Amino acid sequence: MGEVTLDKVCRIAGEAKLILYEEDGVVQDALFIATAPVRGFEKMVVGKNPLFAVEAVMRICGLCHASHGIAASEAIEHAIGIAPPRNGRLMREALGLINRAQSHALLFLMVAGDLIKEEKRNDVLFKLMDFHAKISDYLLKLGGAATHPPNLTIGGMLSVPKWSVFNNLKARFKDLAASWEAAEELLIDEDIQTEIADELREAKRPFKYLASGFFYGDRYNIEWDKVSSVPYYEFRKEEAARESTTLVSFYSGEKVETGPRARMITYREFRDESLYGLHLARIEDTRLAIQRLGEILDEIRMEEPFRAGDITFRPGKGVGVYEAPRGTLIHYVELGEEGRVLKSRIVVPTMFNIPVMEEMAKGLSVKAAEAVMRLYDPCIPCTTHVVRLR
Amino acid sequence: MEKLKVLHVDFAGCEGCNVSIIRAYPKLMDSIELDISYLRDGPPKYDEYDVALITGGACMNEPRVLEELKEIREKAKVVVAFGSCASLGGILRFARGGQEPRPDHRNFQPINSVIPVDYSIPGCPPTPQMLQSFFKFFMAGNESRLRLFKVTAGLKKLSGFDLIDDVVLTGLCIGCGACELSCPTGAIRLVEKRPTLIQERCIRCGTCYIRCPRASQLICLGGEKP
Repeated sequence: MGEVTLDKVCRIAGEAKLILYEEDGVVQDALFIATAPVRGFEKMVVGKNPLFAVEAVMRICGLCHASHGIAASEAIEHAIGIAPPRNGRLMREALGLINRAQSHALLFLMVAGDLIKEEKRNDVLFKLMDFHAKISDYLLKLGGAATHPPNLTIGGMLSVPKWSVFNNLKARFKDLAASWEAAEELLIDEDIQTEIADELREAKRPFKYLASGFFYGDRYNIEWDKVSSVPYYEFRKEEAARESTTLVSFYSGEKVETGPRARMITYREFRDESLYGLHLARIEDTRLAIQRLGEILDEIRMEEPFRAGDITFRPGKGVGVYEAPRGTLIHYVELGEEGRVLKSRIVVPTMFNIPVMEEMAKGLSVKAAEAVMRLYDPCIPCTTHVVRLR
Repeated sequence: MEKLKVLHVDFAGCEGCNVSIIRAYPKLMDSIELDISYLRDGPPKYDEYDVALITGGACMNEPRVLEELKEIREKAKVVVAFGSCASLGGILRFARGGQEPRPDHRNFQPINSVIPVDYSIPGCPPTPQMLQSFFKFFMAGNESRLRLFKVTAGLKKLSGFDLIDDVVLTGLCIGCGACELSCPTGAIRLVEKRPTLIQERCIRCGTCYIRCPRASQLICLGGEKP
């Protein structure tokens, strides 16, 4: 059996190593080893004010910043027994969906190297960068920054854009949608795709899915007690796995796939269970996110509050669940005396997906197996900052 | 004119700075050739680079990272620390280790604690426009415009606390509000036209200090920060 080792997998978010065991060009097994150092955000926030916790966890990841902010805020709100008002909730949903579109756009850019023929890649790249710039501007205006939006906080929105900003964003919405359509057209055009895309289209792989909602996420659709996590080197006993700095998670002790395909299959009539279906599901996910963003802009009522009043931090426990770009993101928090953080646990979607990715690579060619790793959009910064559940 | 060869390397960053860099790239394409892991297929293309952009902080408990940093220093003529983690430590200043699966990853330092850095661009993350103007001045050889980045490369920490100590408490503050606008976490509020630090929100990124017209003047003219 041959062994193919990629010391640094390119075009993914973060540092990771990939080992493929192949026989006659067909992958028999795969090891996906993340090697980024552990920054330890769950330990970092212990003893701190919950407001710091939200700012800090947003910096776990520069791709799904708002998702971490939302999940952490939800968990803390659950712990202290408050909820954001209607406007606050809608704005939060909008920030999350913008984040989803941003993150997906970047992934399309990274998988273009696998799925799209070389001569067309730059076209796709420019279209996607144009869309990314436009959608990032929405986050800048609504969230206060294009990355790590500071307006997102416990209880709702820290500061509210003026009504003229909303009008301006509504007026530019058509342009945003058109920019996405231009990119989408190229992404689904089968004439400019590579052989890898054909191979993935043939590989039908239905799996167990985990999703808690479509646009937002719902803590009542997930049972926190059923989530278990182990270090990667305990999951895979191979010598090479010792280098890994990640944990992997299971739901009810089983491997589950989470992400756009899980969401589309659970909540929409999407039935393409091939690996290429993952790409299609992500395109559909982006399109619907933009559509929903347009609706939210119309639903905001400027005369109503954007943040819950009377926020008092006190002891309590809470769970926050949010559908991040890559799937179900779970934050668990315990507040102690003075309402300071006593304990924090974070389970990110890539932790569920790593075992699934390795499973899916089996039976594919080496090139396609590498592409599958990318298609699952592993987010190493998120994955290497989470602790073992006891 | 030949394009500048620019290498981007990330260490334990959150990818936010990487996104900033890739967003800045379309406008820089005519003048630089960017080698970034988001766009390439294999290992870095060249053995030598004109500029290396480094994002993320150095984990001092991971010898591999320190070795790689030293290699980059040898490969690149100019090293730029991009973003607060790389230039001043930022949020990584709060890391305290103890977390599974690698509880030994306790200490993160800015890049200039390991290798000499030529320019530092703090921000969480710095905007794409920051990088575009950096390269504009860099290629024009406009040293006076780059002075702030050059001086910052010698600093290892800056935060809202330094801003309050050096500018507000000394009576130098003119109440312009640049700090409030630039803060990426909303940790600074102007009260009676003077900044007030909401301590629990400050992540030590140093953006306010760099943006403050008085503070930046102080470090540029006086040379070293007290």
